Amino acid sequence: MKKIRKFIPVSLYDIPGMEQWLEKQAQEGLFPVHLGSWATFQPTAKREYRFRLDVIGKGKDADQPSEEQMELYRQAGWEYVLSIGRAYYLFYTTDPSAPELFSDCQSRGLSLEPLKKAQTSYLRRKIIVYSLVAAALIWALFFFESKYDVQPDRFVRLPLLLLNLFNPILLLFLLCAAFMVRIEFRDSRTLRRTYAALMEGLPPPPSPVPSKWIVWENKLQVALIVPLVLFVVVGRFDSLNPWKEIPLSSFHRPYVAIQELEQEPVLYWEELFDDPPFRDEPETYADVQFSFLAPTWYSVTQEAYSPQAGTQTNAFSPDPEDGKYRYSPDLDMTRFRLLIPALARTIARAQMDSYRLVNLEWSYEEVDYPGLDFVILATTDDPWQMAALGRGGNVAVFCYAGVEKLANHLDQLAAMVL
Amino acid sequence: MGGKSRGPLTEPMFYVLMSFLKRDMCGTEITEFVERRTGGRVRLGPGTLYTLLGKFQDEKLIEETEVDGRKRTYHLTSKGRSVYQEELDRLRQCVQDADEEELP
Repeated sequence: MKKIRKFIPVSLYDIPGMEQWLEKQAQEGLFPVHLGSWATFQPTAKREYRFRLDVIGKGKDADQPSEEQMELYRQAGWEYVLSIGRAYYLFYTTDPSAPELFSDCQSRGLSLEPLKKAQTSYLRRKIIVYSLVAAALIWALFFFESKYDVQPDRFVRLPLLLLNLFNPILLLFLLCAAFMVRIEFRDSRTLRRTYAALMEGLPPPPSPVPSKWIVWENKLQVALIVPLVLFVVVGRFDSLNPWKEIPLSSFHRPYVAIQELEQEPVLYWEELFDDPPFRDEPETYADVQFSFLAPTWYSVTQEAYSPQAGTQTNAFSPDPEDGKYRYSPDLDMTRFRLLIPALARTIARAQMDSYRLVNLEWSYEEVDYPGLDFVILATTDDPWQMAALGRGGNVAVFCYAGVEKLANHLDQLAAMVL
Repeated sequence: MGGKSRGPLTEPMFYVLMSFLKRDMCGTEITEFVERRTGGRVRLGPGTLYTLLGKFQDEKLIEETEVDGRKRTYHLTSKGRSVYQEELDRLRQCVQDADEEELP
């Protein structure tokens, strides 16, 4: 038999509203067979049904009422239809002389107590979890201090957080979360009002049914959740997946190749050795990220090796130390095109800080370069160096370990932002 | 909820407790008793009865004595009897107060 699905235009916690809507559907010849995120009906003879929701008591079977309850209700002319989640059993009668399920308001109010308690406890747990997550984030951002970090700066990376906040997946997630919280609080308010009225011996407050807004809410929930699931679970959208490591052979955006920086020839691992890299993850790859504030945002990580082995065959270092190690320079680069050019310098500093090896003492200096808004160079006593270059909304940040001096290669680096 | 702190019983609560005074009862018997006792004035809805039975069990005013298929029989506990008695005393006092303040 053909089934008909409809979005439910009332809150599941608006008990009289839900009952009235089901009765209206039955008058139009639709009998409910499933009620959840949406309602499923099957055609039935058009007649007057009375539907009543009965809260599933604490510790009761969510699938169906107990035999005792079923028998009591049946003797009074009521039949069980289905359960709605772990919240309600749905009963109906077509007998106009059947007594109401609840003969007084207070007992109906009492029947809502388990649902009210469960919902209060759920909301309380949710608030606690959200507060803990927020507290952990605040602690990690503003109070965490690594004992190895010799130049801590708690605020310098915040602009990168801003870019991440404008990631479409995160925005979608936050939008979904805010939307759900809003619905949950509204449902909770509806339930509390209904309970309070019933316990005072008053009928539940009238509900505005059917509500087009609630139908839109339900549609929007599906519309938000479906792409979120697609983005996060299926992970097909590589360009939006910040964890996706793309091999450089199939990456076609501009970057400074490490071989162009080195005076002596260097090769990628795969070009030099038949064996796979000694680490599991690839050493040379690109990451593409996206933020509405930074439509272009990608990083390229490169490690290269001298064909000349060191005296210690398996040891690698950006500093060959008189032939003891095989020379193996690193070059990391992140490039941004920002929608707000005013953010360029702070984003550059933030990216430099995220590249910074925290146990090294870094010296920063600004140098002039024709046509660029800024060039920041950072050096250490070790072979590690950084450079950040910006022009308008274009920013390129480099982190290098090797025998070259980035300051001597500004022409190559500047090509990334000019 | 103890007898002294629970406040007045609702009419259905009072009659459900009353139904157990003389013997143990199952749900259907309680409904019939209340309807008969009140001359049809109070008709317990099945949801009302089932909710009250659950609540009274939680508060230990009644206890289950027998399960026979779909039929469960309950017994009034001494705590239940005392709650009923308190409500009866309260109602008697109400009636006495009203008698003393007779309508002109």
